[in-house]
Amino acid sequence: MARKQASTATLPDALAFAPVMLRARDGTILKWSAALTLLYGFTAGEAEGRKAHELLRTDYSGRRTQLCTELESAGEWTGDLINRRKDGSKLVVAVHCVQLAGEDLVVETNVATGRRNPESDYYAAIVESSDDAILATTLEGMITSWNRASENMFQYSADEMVGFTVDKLLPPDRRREEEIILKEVGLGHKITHYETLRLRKDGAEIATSLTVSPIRAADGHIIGASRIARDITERRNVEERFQQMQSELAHMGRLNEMGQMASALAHELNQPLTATNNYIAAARRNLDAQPAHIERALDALAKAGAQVLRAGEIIRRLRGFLSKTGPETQAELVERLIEDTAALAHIDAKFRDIALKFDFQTANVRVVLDRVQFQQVLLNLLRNAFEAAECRPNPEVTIATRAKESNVEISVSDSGPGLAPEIAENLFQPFITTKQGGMGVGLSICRSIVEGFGGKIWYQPAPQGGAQFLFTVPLEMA
Amino acid sequence: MARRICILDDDDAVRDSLRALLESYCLEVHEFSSGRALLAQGNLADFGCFIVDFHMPEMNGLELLETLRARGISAPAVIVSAVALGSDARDAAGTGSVQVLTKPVPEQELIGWIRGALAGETALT
Repeated sequence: MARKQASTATLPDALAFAPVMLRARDGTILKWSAALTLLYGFTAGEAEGRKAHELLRTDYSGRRTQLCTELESAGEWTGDLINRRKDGSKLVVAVHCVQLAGEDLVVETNVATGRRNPESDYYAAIVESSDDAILATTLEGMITSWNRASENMFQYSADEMVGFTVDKLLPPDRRREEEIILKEVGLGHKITHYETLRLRKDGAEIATSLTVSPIRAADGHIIGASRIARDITERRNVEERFQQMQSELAHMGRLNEMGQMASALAHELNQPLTATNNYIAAARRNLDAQPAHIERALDALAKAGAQVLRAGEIIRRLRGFLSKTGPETQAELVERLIEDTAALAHIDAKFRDIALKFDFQTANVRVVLDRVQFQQVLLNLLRNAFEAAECRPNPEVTIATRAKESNVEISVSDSGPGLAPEIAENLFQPFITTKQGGMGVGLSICRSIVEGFGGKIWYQPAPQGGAQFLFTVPLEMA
Repeated sequence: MARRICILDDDDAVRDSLRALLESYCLEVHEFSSGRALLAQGNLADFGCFIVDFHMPEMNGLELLETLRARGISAPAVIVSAVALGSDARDAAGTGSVQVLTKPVPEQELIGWIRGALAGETALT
């Protein structure tokens, strides 16, 4: 239809030097005057057949729909728009459109106003100087603006992008994202800090945080999308480094734990050494006696041997705890795990004259995890509990288990003074500590370990006063 | 003179080995695993001396000695500790001249102390 009319539409020669075009309602240019060639730099050959708003990259400032509607109903529209010349420069033009009744034909004149658009210049300056890539698209996804930071981030110039869709930036497996983004924005929703991947011109992937907001016209309806893209590659690297540091810290935390346990262990090792010394002395004296008490000497020597093994066992436990091995998960009996860990902590408890109690409400339940990490969590909680319990008379610490749906819940309660609410709030954040000389990483490491198990860790006041730390670990799937 | 020796230690092996050693010296030994067990038996005055571990749950060695002194038991006592105790801990006992030895105690040192104790040389006034 339009084509047919195009052939019949003519521009009187008299109008050749007027800045006027004949176009279809959808913008398709049918006739392009010589004056427009002077104004925009596009020849008739380049312009005719293209859509005017695409050719001129018209900035409707959100009024396109309004313009079309008004033109349809009143048959006429007058106003200022911003078009671009062939060289890319912007031009504010006074536009007058007349729609010929009953025909798919619009007569449009464009007169350069020589005016600048102070408001848009002001915002343009801000956008242009932003460190974040800022671009605007129509609701159809066509890019209408592309700032310098976009050029830097994606390596495409504004000329390469404006007037095109963002497809070039999408990794093949993320093409659907763009549809969803446009749909969401069209519904008036904002997408905030969505983390995804985008492609640079050289094909490299960029970790990108996207914020997309609807652009609304003065009357409130949505006419496009403004997009802010931030290159978060560096932040990602920092995060990875932080993860790595956390695991280093976990190891350090373990060493720290060791340092504090060392004096208690010295005591523990002294017991078998003392006993061994006594048994050997007794054996020697029994052999030396007249007559020699062979039976008693042999008995004492056998017992001395057992005490040497006991010392070795203490060292073995210590070494297992200290060695830095990656997580090795295997199915473990919860109660056994707790007892083994408590055997390490028991020394410390005894040293501080603290009664360590158990309240197991589970029997032979199994979890799949790395036992060293589990020990680390429990030892950390126990040490905190010991320190808290110590400040009150008759110090007591209880380790309890109970089954909670598909988890086992393990709690460590102390008879200490409990925690002030403001301290309780930030307990699991790194580098927050109430302890002198504490690094404040203990509980945050516990949290990352427990979350790594697929569980949770939290604090609550103990029923009998004092503090209670609880964590859950998923049970082994049957 | 009472010649029975009281050993108080919560570690079974330490207690048993000490008994074996002292019996090889033909000494009569009675052993207890906690202060409570010791205090519960009636013949405290029959002991010639006390060898007491410092680190024990419920009641540590110093607390036990204080209790003994409060009950008028004045037989010599030695506290053995895995770590060297500071003077604070000794003063805390309020018992004046409690002997403190560090584990493991060399045989001759221990036997020397026991002989002296039983002979009344180190008896407390």
